[in-house]
Amino acid sequence: MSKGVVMPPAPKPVPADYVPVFFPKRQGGARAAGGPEEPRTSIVVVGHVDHGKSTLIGRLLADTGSLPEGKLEAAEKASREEGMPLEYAFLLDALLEEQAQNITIDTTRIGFRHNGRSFEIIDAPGHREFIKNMVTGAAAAEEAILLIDAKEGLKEQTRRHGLLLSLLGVSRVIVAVNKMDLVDWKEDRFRTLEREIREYLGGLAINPREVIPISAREGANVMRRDSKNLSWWKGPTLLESLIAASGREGIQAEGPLRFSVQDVYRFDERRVVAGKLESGRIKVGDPIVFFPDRKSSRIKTIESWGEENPLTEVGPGQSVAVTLEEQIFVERGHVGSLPDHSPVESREVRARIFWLDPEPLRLQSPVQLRLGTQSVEARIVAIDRVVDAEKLEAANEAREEVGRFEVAEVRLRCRRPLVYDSHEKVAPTGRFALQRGPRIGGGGIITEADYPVSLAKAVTGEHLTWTEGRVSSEARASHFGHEGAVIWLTGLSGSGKSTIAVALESLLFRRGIGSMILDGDNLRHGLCADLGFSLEDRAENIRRAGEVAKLMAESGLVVISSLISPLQKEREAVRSSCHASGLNFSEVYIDAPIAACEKRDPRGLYQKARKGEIKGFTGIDSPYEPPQKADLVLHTATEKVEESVGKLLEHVLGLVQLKEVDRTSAGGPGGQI
Amino acid sequence: MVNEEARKRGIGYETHDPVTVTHELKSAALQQALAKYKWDALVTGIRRDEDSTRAKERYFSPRTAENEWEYRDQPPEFWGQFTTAVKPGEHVRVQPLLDWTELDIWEYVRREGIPIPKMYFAQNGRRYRSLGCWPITKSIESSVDTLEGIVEELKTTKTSERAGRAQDHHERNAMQKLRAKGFM
Repeated sequence: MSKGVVMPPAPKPVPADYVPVFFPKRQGGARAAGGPEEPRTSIVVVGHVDHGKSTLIGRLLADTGSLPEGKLEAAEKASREEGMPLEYAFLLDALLEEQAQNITIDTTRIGFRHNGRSFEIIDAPGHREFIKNMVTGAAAAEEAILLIDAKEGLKEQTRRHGLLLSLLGVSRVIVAVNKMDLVDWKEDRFRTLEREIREYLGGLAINPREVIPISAREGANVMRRDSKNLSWWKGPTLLESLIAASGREGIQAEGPLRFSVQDVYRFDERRVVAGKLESGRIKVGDPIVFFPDRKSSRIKTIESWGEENPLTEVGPGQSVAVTLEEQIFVERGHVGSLPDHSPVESREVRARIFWLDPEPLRLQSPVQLRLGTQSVEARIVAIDRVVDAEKLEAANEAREEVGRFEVAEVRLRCRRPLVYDSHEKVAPTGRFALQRGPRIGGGGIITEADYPVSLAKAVTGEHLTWTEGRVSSEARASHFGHEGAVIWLTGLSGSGKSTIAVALESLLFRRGIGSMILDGDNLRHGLCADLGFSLEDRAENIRRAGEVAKLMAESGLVVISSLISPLQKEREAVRSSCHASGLNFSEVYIDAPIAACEKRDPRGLYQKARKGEIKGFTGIDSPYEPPQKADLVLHTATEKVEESVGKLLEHVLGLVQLKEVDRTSAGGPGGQI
Repeated sequence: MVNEEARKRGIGYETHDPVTVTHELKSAALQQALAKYKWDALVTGIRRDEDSTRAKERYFSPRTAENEWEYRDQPPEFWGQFTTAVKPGEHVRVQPLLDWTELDIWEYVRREGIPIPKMYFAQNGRRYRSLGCWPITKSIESSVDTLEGIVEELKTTKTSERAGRAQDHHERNAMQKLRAKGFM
């Protein structure tokens, strides 16, 4: 059975003073972080099972002369053993099962060089049950080749993989129509498929750079042109297209600074903040603000290992360690930004997620959201749309869960504020993984982000400090039996805001929920008595009302604010300010046509405005901007008051009532002290 | 740590094939060490370009209590998020260099001045590209004896890095069999 190896002659003894180690002189380099020197383009190859992915990769490697010696021979031998002609796929599919079934089991990576460029191919398997490997492969790719079998055309996985590419943010796509030899190299068949795939990908906001006819098995149009069979093709070969793309600048586009803090190290008196530049660059002397605490400082030094001339600037994608001018509290999970172009800080996240775990992700069930170095407990509070990956159709029925391999548009609420961007604006801080128990079960990209209109003023007052209480918001919620919230009613004068606010306040109070109305007119008697009705003063009035509402909600109350608040921008400012503090905020549009409001005119104000006795009256000679994305709309001109109030009550209860998990995990009354 | 039990059974290169010896004296010994010291994680230096089964690895790769690699059910890994938790008795292989190539390693050694064994440099027209156990590691034909020379040689070579490692090539799928049972 086993037999020993032919033992080579024993090595000669070495002299006692022989040093077996070579100590090279450090050459050094401009890079702050370690890592490979040669830039590499990562390409993922996706498509339906048996459409020829592994064959294409084998062909690319063979044609570019990137195969190690003996590999081709080994593949030929394996092919003979399975009783088939040379199978290029065997070059990759090293695992035994794969060779028997001729199917790739897991994501494989393999490098090749051509014309002075370096590529890394990620082979993602086509089997439906192996889709998580496809995600693992595709998420790392800068470029994708989507393969379609010319004979079979678009199949389930062609569509699914297209959708996943769009979801994972891989927008640079080349489509290769493979096995052209099986359709007699016919141009009309190719053009039909080209139309179909362009139409499908267009619906996913992917515009393929090139749709190319090839035959991987025959080696046509992969590296070499096939002037005999594909003489009608005037476009590039697959390799030409890849090389053209790899030369393009801006794979790692410069965005606003996002510095994810990994850890803080203490050396002597110095504190070194280490992390990764997800986007943007850091220069010595630059101001920097760390979220979520919004502590600000300046970059004092950029630290590097054994560098004689310390770096003064570091660019995107690098890991970096810095020291700061002021000693401020920074920890893992914080995100550094320049004072302008700051990220969003909110407990609410709107995202498109994909789910991979066999056990579905249910509404309200806790899941760990991991974004950069942040990790917060979150739960899905609304499933707006579940997309069928094949038909690209949204399910019509309301859904309580997101199943395996489904893609859904959801709203998530986090226990603590999360610092993020929209994926469109800053991809690395606009995407996250979802972990349940020890397993990563899915992920998502953030589709919307309410950027703050202006950074809270506290940031500019460098000598102000924020006094942190010891009673956590969870402890408060547990004590009162409900969370605080700002319910922001907006609408024209006479639309019914006050009536509804008064009814809601009393209904909530009777249910044991601490509630309080914040009325615009009432505020003007005290806090805002110094303000007039100019646009500027009205904006300041809203800002103050928003700050007061926030404070009251932080104390645990459900605040019902009743102000016309005509401008979208000002309402958004209150929303982002509340979300930044981790508070529930709901914008409720009291929607009644101006004619109905004017007819009611409970305080005779419209009459006065029409006569010109009141200037700048909203709806008459001052604009009202209806909410674009109100959390609830009440049609008070057509509904009964009880009906509107009933809807609002249900909405508010859904927002502030505690779930069982919250009750048990808040640490009881008094909180963690 | 030496697998004394296997040595008592007479396992050795003199009498056994390289796959058997590799499993008994490396993988099994590692498993004994894991059991003794109860380590949660092993940091390895394996890379995807070394071998086609290593090409399918994860940066954080869980291993069962039996030290086995369940390559059919590996956790997803994306956007810098990894599965780091381990259950009692299990461990995770942390493989930070997975994405590097052999060329990257040598360019890095040159740039950072990292000390290396002199066996990588040619003597009498031969040098080692990969170092393993003495009786089953072969040198390659090469006259290169500088870091610059190694970097240049790697840019044009057609042989694989581990071509001189006998256990990889002892039989078809040798590495898959070894690695499924805990070999690095």
